[in-house]
Amino acid sequence: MVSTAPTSYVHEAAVYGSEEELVHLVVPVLEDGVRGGQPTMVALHDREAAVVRSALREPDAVTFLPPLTSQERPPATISRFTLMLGDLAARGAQQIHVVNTVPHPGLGAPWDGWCRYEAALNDLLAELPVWGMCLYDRRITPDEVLDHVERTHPRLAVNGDHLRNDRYEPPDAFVLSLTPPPDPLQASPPAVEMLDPTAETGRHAVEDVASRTRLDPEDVERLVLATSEAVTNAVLHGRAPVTMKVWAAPERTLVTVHDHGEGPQGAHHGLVLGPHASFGGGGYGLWLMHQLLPVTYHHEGGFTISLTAGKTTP
Amino acid sequence: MISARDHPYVALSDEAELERAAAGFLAEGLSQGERVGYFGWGGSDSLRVRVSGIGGVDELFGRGVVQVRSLDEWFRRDEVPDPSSLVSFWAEATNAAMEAGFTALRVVTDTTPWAEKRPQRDAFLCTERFVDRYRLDHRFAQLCVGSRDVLSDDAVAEVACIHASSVGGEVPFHLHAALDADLALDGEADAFAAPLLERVVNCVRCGDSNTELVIDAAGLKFISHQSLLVLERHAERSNTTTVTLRGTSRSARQVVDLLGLKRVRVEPGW
Repeated sequence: MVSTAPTSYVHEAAVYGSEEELVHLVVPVLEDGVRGGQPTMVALHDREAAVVRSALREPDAVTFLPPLTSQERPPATISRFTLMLGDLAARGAQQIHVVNTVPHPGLGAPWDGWCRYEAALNDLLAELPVWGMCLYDRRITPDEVLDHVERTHPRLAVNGDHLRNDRYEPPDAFVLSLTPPPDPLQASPPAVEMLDPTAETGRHAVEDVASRTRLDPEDVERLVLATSEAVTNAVLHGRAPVTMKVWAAPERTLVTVHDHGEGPQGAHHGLVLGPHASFGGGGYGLWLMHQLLPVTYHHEGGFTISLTAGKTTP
Repeated sequence: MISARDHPYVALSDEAELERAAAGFLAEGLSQGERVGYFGWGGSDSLRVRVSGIGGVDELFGRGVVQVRSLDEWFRRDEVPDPSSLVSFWAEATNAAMEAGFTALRVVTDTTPWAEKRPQRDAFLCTERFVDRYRLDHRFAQLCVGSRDVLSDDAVAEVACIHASSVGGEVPFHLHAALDADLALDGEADAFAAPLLERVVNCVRCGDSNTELVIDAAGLKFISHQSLLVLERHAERSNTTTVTLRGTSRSARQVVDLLGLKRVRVEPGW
C-alpha cells in the first residue's frame, strides 16, 4: 500500500482496459480502506459498480455513490466533495478512500472543465487525508485525455503498484499549457463577429442567433447569461480590443470572447471562489460560467473563453 | 413615444423640444376631457410660454381647462417636500379637477431643482415613488421634465430610471410603481447597471417599513449576478426579509441558488 502521511492527499490515476484489470486495480484499494476502518466509497457507472461490488469481500462496508455524470459541473462537484471529505476528516478519518470515474468525451462529456478539475484537486484537497483514485477506461478514453490524466496525477496505479509519476506537472503551469482543439463549428465563418461589444450588445447578438436554433429556451438563457459574464470580464479585467464570435448549428451554439489580456492564471480559477470573492466585491463571474454550461479557455495570443450550449460534443 | 400611462420623464437641453414634448402630452389630455397644467419655477407669466404650443390656449386658460402654476408658491427649490405633502398637493389638485367636471388631471412638472444636488435628489427619488404610486390608481397623469443644461448625467440617469419610461436619458432599466407589486423593474440590469440600481433602490425605499418587497419583473429581460447581489445587500441593509422577483427567468433563479442568496427569491410569472 502507499506509505503516506495520514494528513496528505494522494491523487492517483488508474487506467484499465478490461473488467479483470478494473477489479485488480480497485478492489485492493477499497479493501484496504475497509480493513483500516476508514470511510471507503466508490462512484462508478452501473456496470463497473456491479463488477466491483461482486468482487468485494465486504461490499456492504463500502459506500456506493452515484457516478459523476456529463450533466454535472466541476465547481459543484468540487464543492460537494470538499464539504463531504472535510466533514469526514473533521470527524477523525485518517485516510478516506475514494474511487471514481471522471467525465470525459468518451463518456459524452466535454473535457476541458474536468481536465482543470483534475489539475486543481491537487491543490484544493492537499490538506485532506484522502486517497483518491481516478479511473479511466482506455478503450473509450481519447488519447489526449489520457495524456492530460498522466500530467495531472502525482501517482499512477499500475499492475498493483502505486508509483510516483514523473510526468506530473504543477497545476498552474499545466492549465496554462492547455490548448483545446478548435470546435468543428469554427471551420465555418461565424454567424456574428463583434469588435468591442458591450455586455448588452453581446447578449442581444447571442440571443438573436441562438433563439433561431433548436436549442431549449433554458439553454439559450444560460448561454446569454454566460456570454454577459464573459464580455463583462473581458471589458473589466481584460485588455482591449475584445472580439466576440458566435457560431450556430441546429442543436449547438458556440460563443467565443477574446481579449488581449492574460486571463485568469491559477488552476482553480472558476472552479472555486477566490478568497476575495464577496457579495460586496464580486469575483463570481468565471465560477458562475462554469456552473451554467461547459467552458473552455486558453491563453494563446491573449485570453479566449469558449461557451457551448446544446450538444456539447459535435 | 411618451405615454401618460407611464409617468414618463423627459430630460432635454433644447427648450423648444421640451416645450413641444410638454404641449404634445397636454394636448392629448385635452382631447380626453382632462384639465391640464404646467407646474414649474419662476413667475406664472414666464411659465405660460411653456404651453404656448397648445392651440387656443388663451381661451382654455379662461375656462380653467389649462393651468400654469409656479411651484415657488408652495415649495422650496432647495428642499424636496416629504412624500405625504407632495402626494397631498397632487391629490387636492386632482380632486379639484374632478369636482370641476374634468375626467382627470394631467400635468407637466419641472423637477429640475429637486434633482440637481445629491442630498435633495435622494429625497426626491424617495418622494417621487409615492407620487408614482398615487397616479396608478387615481385620475392623475404626470410628465416630469428636467433640464440637461443644469443636471449632470448621473442626475438624469437616476431620475430617469425611477420613471416607467424616459426620453433624453438613456438608462438600462426602469424601477417604478406597479399595481400588483411594490415595484416593477423593466429593462436590463447587468453588471454595468448595478451601481445605478444600488443608488436608486436604496432611495426609492426610504421610509418603507415593509419587511417584504415584491418586484414585478415580467418586463425585466436580463439581470446579472451583480444586480441580484445589489438586491441582496439592499435587503440586508434595510431589514427586508424577502425581495421577491416575480416573473423573471429561470436562469436568474439558478444564479440565486448558486450564490446562496438568503433574501432574494425568484418566482415564476403570474
